[in-house]
Formats: sequence, structure tokens, C-alpha cells
Amino acid sequence: MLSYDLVFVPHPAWTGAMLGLSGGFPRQVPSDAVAAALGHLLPGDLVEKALLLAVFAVAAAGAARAVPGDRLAPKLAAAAFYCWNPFVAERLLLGQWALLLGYAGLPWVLTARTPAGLARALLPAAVGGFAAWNVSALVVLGRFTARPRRIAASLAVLLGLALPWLVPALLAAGGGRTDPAGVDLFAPRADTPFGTVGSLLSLGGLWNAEAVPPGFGSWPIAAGRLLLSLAAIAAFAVTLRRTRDPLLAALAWSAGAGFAVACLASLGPGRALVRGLVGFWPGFGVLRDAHTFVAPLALLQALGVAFLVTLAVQRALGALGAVLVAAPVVLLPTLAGQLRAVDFPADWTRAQQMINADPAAGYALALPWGGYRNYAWNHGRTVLDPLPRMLARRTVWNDGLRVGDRALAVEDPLARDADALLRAPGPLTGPLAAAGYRYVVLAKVGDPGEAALRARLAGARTVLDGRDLTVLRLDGREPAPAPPGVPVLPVTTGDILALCLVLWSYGTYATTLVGTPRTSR
Amino acid sequence: MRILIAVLLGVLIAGASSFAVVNAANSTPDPQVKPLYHYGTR
Repeated sequence: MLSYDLVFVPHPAWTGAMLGLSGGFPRQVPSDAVAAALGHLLPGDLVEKALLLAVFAVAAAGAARAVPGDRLAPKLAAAAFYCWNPFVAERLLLGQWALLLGYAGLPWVLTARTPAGLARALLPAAVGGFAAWNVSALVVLGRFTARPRRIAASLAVLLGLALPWLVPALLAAGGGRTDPAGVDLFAPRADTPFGTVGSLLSLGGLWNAEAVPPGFGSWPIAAGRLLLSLAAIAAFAVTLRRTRDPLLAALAWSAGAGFAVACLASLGPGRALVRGLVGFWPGFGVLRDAHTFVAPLALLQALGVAFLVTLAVQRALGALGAVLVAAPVVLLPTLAGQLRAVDFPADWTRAQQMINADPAAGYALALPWGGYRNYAWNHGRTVLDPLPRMLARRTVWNDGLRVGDRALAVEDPLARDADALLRAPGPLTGPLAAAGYRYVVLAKVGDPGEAALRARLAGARTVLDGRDLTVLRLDGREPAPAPPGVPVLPVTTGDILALCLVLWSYGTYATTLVGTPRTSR
Repeated sequence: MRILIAVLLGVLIAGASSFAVVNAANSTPDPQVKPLYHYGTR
């Protein structure tokens, strides 16, 4: 399956970009490295399926475990709701498996009782990287309202597991940048008839209109979803007021804060404020895709549905309980069948083998100059260019995202140079060779400008010309200059420290997967 | 002469209207051009 950011390739290559050494913002760190490591043990498609399955298994088990009591029906309801809701559907269609790993870990983070348990609960978020860590941090901060003790230890765990992406992000801050225009492009949008706030309350509201499950915006489905969400929030509030459970209070704080951030980014003045913050310091880019912060609200609603089912069972309304358990699937039936498996064309794997077998140094340039492609062999579904994950050498691609007719600034320093070369008229072969490029890989996506682009590469040697791909080699190039990037030592030190933290957490409680059962409050 | 002009006009009008009717009956929408490199649409 290849869909937007969901990119798993056969025989993934080890690259510095997977560890954040290439200089751009390390959004794919360390999730790509983990996927590549697993890809050396199992075929890429199996790794993908296992990770997606892990998202659902960890999320369902965590949501069920977070429901107090031993009754099965409320636990089933919470698990079904937490696994099958618009947030999961839209992020899954957008291919953001790394974020969903963090989402799956949220109930475990909420209920972890010790710093070591918290470290284990944060493992999915640590694997997921930047976005997964952000939503998990919101829940960790909420926990401080419930368990004010061990704040320093919890913060140390949180920061320690962020080191793999935090260190390269800080070291790349001079060369990296975040385009403030992204705040407008990635702000939540209304995907139901109830406006942006109503969509966010229903756990929809993703910025991308193409990643909305079919039928989700129709009146009956959207109204049913919103009613279920409001009923769940009401049940959660009543239970919180009745029990004064500190963990529920912590979750209410996290969900409220996350919802407020998402609403802030969707309203005009709030969006202007976020844009100003991102322009002031790129670190505020964390607020760019504010829809991610709705994740704790999904957990709150899942527990709310469980409380509704408990109430129904207590009042001998078993049928109502069964309806509530099935409601998430009934109200979002069209997610199934949206993702289909595809095989990589032979041209791609041949190009991969050929280029990776070449011992000569030099970069590879991915053309046409657009990061996301609609390949015919992928049924026309948009996907991020798989090439950088297939080639062992530094592969330069256009990371300036395009949404609709607007494009964000290119972030990677090498890509910025390539962007300038491509925008200038005239032949490309000489300038690219002088800049240290060894290969140009030209994917055939039906772009009318492909022939003109090929003409600008006259003189380059064609080493593969298939139906889906052309590979050109730039012989006689200059020695590749040292690529801009970040120092290896601090980055690997951060990786080792995070790994030690994970090993310590499992060494402390070797017999449990994540935390101890929630037996009392 | 006026008869000749009327015949010519009649042929032109009949040709244009039959062309329009055929196109209206068998109209197919222009193929939607999907942007090639974008991440999504708002």
C-alpha cells in the first residue's frame, strides 16, 4: 500500500536522512530508520502490514485497559471507538502511520504509573517521531495535573525519547526553516456540514480534502457522528464529576488543550498568531498541523462511549449497549477498501539495484521536481516519492510541499540549490555534475514537461529507460562536495541515550509490556 | 438572389443547430486534470 506518507519500499536503504543527518527538518526520524531496520529482517510489505496492525492492536488494547472495571462491553466499545473514528481514518488515508503509532500509545501514556512505565508507554511515540511525540507530550503534561509527583523524572523521560529527532532539529535550525504559509495550508478545515469546530468535535477536520472517507461529509453520517461525539463528551463529563478521577481530569485537560489549539489554528486571528509564531521561530512549526492535537479528544470520547455503555448495561438496555459498540463502524463504513496493495514496477527495483551497486560517490536527483506523485501503477493515488528510501546515496527531492495551487518553500539546503538550478533556463547536465550529482532519476508520471526536462539533460548517459522510469548517469562529474548536514556525533549520542532509556525501562519491569494493570484509582 | 441567400443561411443554421443538438445530447464533461505533484487539496 502506498498512500501519501505511507511509503514502504523493498530492500530499504540505510541513509543519513533517516537519522536526521541531512539537514532538513527531521519529520521522518526515527520512524524511517525503524522501518528500514525491520525491512532488513522482513519484506517491506510485511513490515508495513505489521506496523499498521500494531497501531490498531496497541490502540484497542490501550483504550480497553483505560476503562475502569472488568465489564467486557464498555471495554469493547472504547476499543472500537478509539480504533475506528474519523481521526484514524483520515490520518490513515494520509499515510501517517508514524503519528498513529503515537496515537495508539496515548491510553498507555495516560495510565502509566512510574517513570519507567511512562518510558515504555511512550515507545510507540518515540518510534513515530516528531508528530507522535507532540500529541503524547500533551497527555504527559495533562498527567501532571493528576500526579504532580515525579514531574522532573517524567519530563526527563519525555525529552530523552525525543532526542533522536530533537538533536538534529536543533542542530539544523540554522539551515532549516519552516514556511509560515504552511499554517494556512495545514489548518483544520470543515469536512462536515457543521463547520470546522463541529468537524473537529466529530474528530474530523483534517486539512486535506482528498483524505476524507467517502460519505463522511453527508448529513446523516455527519449528524450521527456529531451526536455520538457529543453524547460521549457528556457521559465523560458526568462520570468525571461523579468520580473525581484524577486520570479522567488529566485527560480532560489534555483533550481540552488540544482541541483549543486546533480551534485556534482554524480561526482567522488565531491562525495569524500561529503564523507569526512560526515566522518568529521555526520551532513553533509544531503548531502547523494543529489537527493532530485532537488525538486526546478521541481518547476522551472513547472513554465516554464506554461510560454510556456501562450505563446502558446497568439499566438493562443491552440492545442500546450493542448499538453503541457497533456505532463507530456503522457511522464510518467506507474506510474499508480505500487502501489497496500494489507491487513496485520492475523498472524501480532495477534502478534501485543498479544505482546501489555503483561504488562511485555522488548525489541522486529525483525528477520531475515534485515530492508527491500520482503514479499510474499506484492506481493514481498520491504518494510521496519512494526513491529516497530506496537509494543508499543522498537523494535530493523537492520537499517544498504543494497544497492546491500553493507551494511551500523548499526546506532541505541541497534541494534549495537544486530548485534554483531547475528554475534557471538552459542545460542541466553540466551544472548538476558540477554540484556533485551522479544520477538523475526521471519518473514517468505523464507530465507534459517530461520531454523538455529530458532535453535539458542532453549529454547524460542513459543507463535505464523503461516504461516507468529513466535513469541518467552524469559521467565526468566533479568530486561530490561534502553535503550540508548536521554533525554525526551529537546525533548518534542522542540516539544511543534514547535507546538506553528504552532498555532501562524494559529492564526495570521486564515482565510487562507497558505499565501495570490499572487496579485502583 | 434572395432565395439563394435564404438557402445558404438555412443550411448554415441547420448545420449549426444539428451540431449543437448532437453535442448537447452526447456531451461528456472535460476530463478533470488532477495536479501531478501536490500533497492534497483544501
